[in-house]
Amino acid sequence: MAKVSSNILLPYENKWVAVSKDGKKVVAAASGIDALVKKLKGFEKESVVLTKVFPFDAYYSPNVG
Amino acid sequence: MLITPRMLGRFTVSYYPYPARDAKTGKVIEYFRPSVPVQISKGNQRSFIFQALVDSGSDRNLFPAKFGEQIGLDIRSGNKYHIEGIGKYRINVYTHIIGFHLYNINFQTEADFCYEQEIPLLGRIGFFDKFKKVSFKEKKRMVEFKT
Repeated sequence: MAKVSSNILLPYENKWVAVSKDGKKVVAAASGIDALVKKLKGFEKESVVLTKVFPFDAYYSPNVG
Repeated sequence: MLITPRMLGRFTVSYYPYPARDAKTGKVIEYFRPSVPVQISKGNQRSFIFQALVDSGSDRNLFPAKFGEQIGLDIRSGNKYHIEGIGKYRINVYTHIIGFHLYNINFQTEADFCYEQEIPLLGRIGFFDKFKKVSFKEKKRMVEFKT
């Protein structure tokens, strides 16, 4: 998997994003997984990597709720 | 049928850099988390690749239901159980058998799906136990897997 810079994620706090396989750009973003997947219609399943951009102002510890 | 990971020896995955605000300075910095790109499947349906947190504190794999729906799972038809985490929240989860893919490691495993949790978590049962060893290399910001 290509090296990603967090700079490309800066505009997407608390969003779901699809990052190109080369790690260079965000190709789509949405507030949830469903909305993001709708935007990815036509994309190969292996051509992008989806991730949630965590809120910037909080540490993360799995909090089921 | 349970398929064990193919013998690949040892491989490492770099932590994933996320923006985060430094608690002391207030500046936005890169914060590296042990997150790896995975894909799940059922039959011939595969999800998009998504980042999942390698979480030694989680008992089991926990994925957002939306990823399960992508591969055709009827989420609520799975065995219903509960998961409790920090904050004493308790949520309903539904267990399914899925195909799991990390680079060219492929195996079948159990995973729980829920509607409340957004971050995919890879836990000890169903992920860590598929490897001989999982090591966190904090200084190098890498997770090492031994198959």
